[in-house]
Amino acid sequence: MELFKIENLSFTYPNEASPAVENISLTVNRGDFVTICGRSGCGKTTLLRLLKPALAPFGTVSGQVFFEGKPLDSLSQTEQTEKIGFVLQSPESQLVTDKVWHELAFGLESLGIPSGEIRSRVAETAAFFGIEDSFHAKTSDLSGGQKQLLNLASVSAMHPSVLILDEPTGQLDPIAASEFLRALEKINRELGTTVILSEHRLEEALPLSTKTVVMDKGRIIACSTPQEIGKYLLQNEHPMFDALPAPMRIYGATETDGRFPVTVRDGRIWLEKYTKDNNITNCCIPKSPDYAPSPSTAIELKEVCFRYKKNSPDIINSLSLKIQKGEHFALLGGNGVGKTTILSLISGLNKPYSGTVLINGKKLSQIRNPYQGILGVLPQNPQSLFAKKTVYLELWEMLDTSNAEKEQKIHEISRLCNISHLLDRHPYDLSGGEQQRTALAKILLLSPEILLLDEPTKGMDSEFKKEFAHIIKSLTNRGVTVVTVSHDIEFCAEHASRCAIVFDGRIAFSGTPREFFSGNRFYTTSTHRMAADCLSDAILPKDVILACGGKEKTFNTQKNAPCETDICPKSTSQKPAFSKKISPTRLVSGIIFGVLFLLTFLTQFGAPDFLRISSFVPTGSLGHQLLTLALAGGALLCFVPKKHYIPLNADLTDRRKKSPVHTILTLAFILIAIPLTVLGGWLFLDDKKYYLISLLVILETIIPFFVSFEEKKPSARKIVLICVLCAISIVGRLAFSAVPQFKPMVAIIIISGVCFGGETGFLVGATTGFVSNFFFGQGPWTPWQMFALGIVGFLSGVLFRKGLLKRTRLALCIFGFLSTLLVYGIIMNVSSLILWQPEPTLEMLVSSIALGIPYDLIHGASTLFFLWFLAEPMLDKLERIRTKYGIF
Amino acid sequence: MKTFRTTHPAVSLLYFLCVTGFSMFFMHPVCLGVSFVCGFLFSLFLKGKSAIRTNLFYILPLMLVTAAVNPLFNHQGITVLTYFPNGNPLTLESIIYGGFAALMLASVICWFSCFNVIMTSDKIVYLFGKLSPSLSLIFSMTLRFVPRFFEQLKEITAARRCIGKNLSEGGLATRIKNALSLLSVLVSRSLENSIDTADSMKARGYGLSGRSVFSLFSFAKGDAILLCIILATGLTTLWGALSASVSASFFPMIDFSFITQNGIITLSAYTILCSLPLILEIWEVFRWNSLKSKI
Repeated sequence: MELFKIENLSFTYPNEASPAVENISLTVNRGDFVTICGRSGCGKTTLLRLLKPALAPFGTVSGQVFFEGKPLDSLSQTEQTEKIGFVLQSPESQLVTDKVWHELAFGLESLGIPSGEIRSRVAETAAFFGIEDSFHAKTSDLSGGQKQLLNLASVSAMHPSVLILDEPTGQLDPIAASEFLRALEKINRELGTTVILSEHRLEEALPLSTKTVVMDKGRIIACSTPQEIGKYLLQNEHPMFDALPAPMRIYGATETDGRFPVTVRDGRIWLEKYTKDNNITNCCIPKSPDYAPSPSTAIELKEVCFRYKKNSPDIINSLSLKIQKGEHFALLGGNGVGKTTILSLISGLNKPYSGTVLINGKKLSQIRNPYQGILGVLPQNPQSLFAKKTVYLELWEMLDTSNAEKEQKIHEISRLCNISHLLDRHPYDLSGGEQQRTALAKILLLSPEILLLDEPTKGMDSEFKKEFAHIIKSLTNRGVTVVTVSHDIEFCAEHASRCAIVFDGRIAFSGTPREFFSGNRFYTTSTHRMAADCLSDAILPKDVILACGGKEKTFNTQKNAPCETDICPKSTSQKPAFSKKISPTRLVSGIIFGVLFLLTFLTQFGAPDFLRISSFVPTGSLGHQLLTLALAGGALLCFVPKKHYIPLNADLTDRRKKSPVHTILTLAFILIAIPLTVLGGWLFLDDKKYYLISLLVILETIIPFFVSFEEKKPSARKIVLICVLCAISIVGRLAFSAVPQFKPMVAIIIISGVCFGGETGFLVGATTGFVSNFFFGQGPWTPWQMFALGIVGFLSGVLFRKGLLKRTRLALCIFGFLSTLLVYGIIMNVSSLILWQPEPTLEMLVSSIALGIPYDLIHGASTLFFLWFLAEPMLDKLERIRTKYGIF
Repeated sequence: MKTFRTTHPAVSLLYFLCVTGFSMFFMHPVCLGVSFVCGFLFSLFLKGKSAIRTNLFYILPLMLVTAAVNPLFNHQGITVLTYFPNGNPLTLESIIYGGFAALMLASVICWFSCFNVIMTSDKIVYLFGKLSPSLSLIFSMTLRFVPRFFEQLKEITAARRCIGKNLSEGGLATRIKNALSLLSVLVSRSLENSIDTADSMKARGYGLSGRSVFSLFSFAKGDAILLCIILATGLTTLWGALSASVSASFFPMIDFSFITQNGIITLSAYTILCSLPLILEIWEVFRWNSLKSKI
């Protein structure tokens, strides 16, 4: 029975000339396992997202999609949530909550299923996927593979009739990936759930699938059984042929009848018969040129021992290793055997407790600046290196030479890494493979002699892998030593000059790929597994193909032609025009503030008290000094020339008005409840329990904000953004907790207020205050902290969004300094006083504020400092997210 | 019966509200003493030896400051001991009052240290979920993001160290510059990846009306019994407080009253309330020992 019926579906993104997917017609039956493959950027993701209305991209759609016989659009929100499950690529970002059990229940909660039923569903799902052991665990404690499995489980808990998965194994190592695919197979076989999967790893996905779809440039070019696909790709000499499993490639190059073996088992049966019939033996495999390593040693590890903690077991146990110059050395091994640890010992990130690491014959610890020209380390996640607006600026950041030289070097390296056509793009707009190459280019700009790569092929499709291998080859030809840590056996077998397996804290065996892989039976390439009995020396498809007298088929694609004209510094950031006009109102108010400031300042030194300010604030007191400070700040703010660094688009601002009834209720609540509390306190508590009364007042101000937030039904994106901002400011507080009072927390809250308005500012502030105390300890001060931070966020939102203050760097900084000092500081000082002194007096109040001033000054200065340096880049980043994804 | 760790969050929250509230309210020496001793013992029970260390390093200095500040600024009371240089009197009452204020502070801190152990984040998230689902989701997600960003920060630090942008080398200016760009990378990475999180929420139906709240906590019989005890003792204490059965006044002179019938009732209710967690823990130890002997 038909589940999905897609008819002539086309889709074009806004502002794009050509459609992303074009004229797609496809039928998916119940119980099908459909694998969609194609090169990066062929439209797989767009097609999959079009099948899930909640995730469908914006743009023009034509054609029809039917789900269970009804048009997809006619499905209710609940129905499509329940019936169509969707799993994305990143295991990490998809997890929403902090506990495994809550993650499993999340979708069911959205569907409004009663608690009792959720309990049983969550239990059975956990049992089916074998995650009972981690049921109570925190999601952050899981490994990548476990996280992705949890994502699959939590979607499956909703009992969908179809599961759509967009490259779910892209960020997993091969072992976790095959585990994941096995779980998927189990769902498909045992529950009959339809699966639509897009995947690079065809080796394992093809044998599972009942239907395979190949896409190219937004169109479906083939849709059939794997055998037929093989035949089609071979006939059309399509580059996707290289991505097929090894048995299919070997078969395609030797036989012509098109009965492709898909699995190693089928391939082995065929090959044994074929070699026997045609009398082919090991000697038919063409000899590879003898491996002649360079005589000089680049890296040497001597009896190295390492453990992470004093009392933990040795992870590296007297390991010795020599790597010659110009080698491409691959370290293989299971999960957690210490491959990455070895890399970190070579790179100097970790230090062995015994033994030595020699780089070019010198002790690593004695090399000054090993990262300038000697060691280059490519991190597992290339995003760890990106902070700038364009790829060009990313590369520019790495160099310290003259501009002309910089340009020349960037030109050279970007050509080598094939990113010349990407220089103007934002690093986060690139695909995974492109990001990887950009990160590599950054590292290469430091011209390292030794390059350390951690899992470089993760998430790359076959084409990117080939390109990557090509780059590495040209580096080793130049004498660069490359050390790769990888799970990718096929990649290492084909491209490494030597492989080593790490086991039990040391190198169990090392040798050339042929020595290495032909000796293994389990841990080896699929070609060798297929040919072990008949051609025991073969490890690569081409070995078998050439031995069988076939011709290796590789169908090269046209390279992305790099446009030379792009390479010019036009992409360096353009500062917005700086106009020095000050409006008359600001001028006047600035003058008034200035005069007031002078007066208060003078009265401090006993000048004639003609303005009688002392009647409000006693002369010479602390309050007086604060007033002076505030006035000075006000004057400065008014005189700051206009310099918007964020053009505020009118249509971006939130124009939805709060319902008046709601506002009135909130106001009434505040206006009635607060005086009542104060009165009640005065009457019943003898006016002495200041803490209790003030606590109630504070709660009464916080609650309306929270209620109005709850009632607005914020969108998923807004909620996530708020959480991210809160978490960043908490991480800032944690990261800088060693330096007293020096923390970016308030700065980040102010920035959120400026970007998203007062209410969001309040929410970010209050949540930060609350949640950060889970790490620092809750106490009676928590509500005060929530209130103080919330008010700072609210004020910044109101003042900067409503245009009362101009969004300039200086204005932000002054505001940040003053609000930290006067708002946050004073509220917190007052609170600690009335908290610990049941009988506070005015004198105590003044002196507690005075005592607090040094700390508040440091805190204020730190806010100023962070705003000065962080505000502009952070507002840019927030603005980019806002416009790109249309939040608010 | 349950121990305090496994009690339903709402019951534990009510308990802590009562205990901290009363601790702040009663300045009567006996009440303060009961609250402090019970709070201190319970924190010792929950945290072991480390509780003593925090108490010494954190509470003692705070207590000293609080005790010292009061006589400096508070000049009420009839028993003048001496005069400050500026002519203000130092009175016995204000010194004693300062001492009791310090004791109150110490007991509140002790109770909050117990609170932090018992009221784990998931319990608070659960309680908020009942009142405000969106907010509780925000707390839960923020709690999820913080360890994740911290991991990422470590990764980024390592990655940037390997391109020579080190935090521990170079002049102060370069170090600060490197620290800031670290933060900047983290901001980019977390913001850009947050869209995936939002998509995953939408895919799982976030935003549909009628969202339900699921939790692993269930209200058992033990919770009901505990709730009744807390309510009974708490209300008795509250009644005692409002009817001023246990009052303490320090100024102008010290006057403690409690040997009235009402005063004794209030005090015993308060004592039961404060020692409730200790009684439960000890009872549980006995019960477990007797159960274990049967295995």
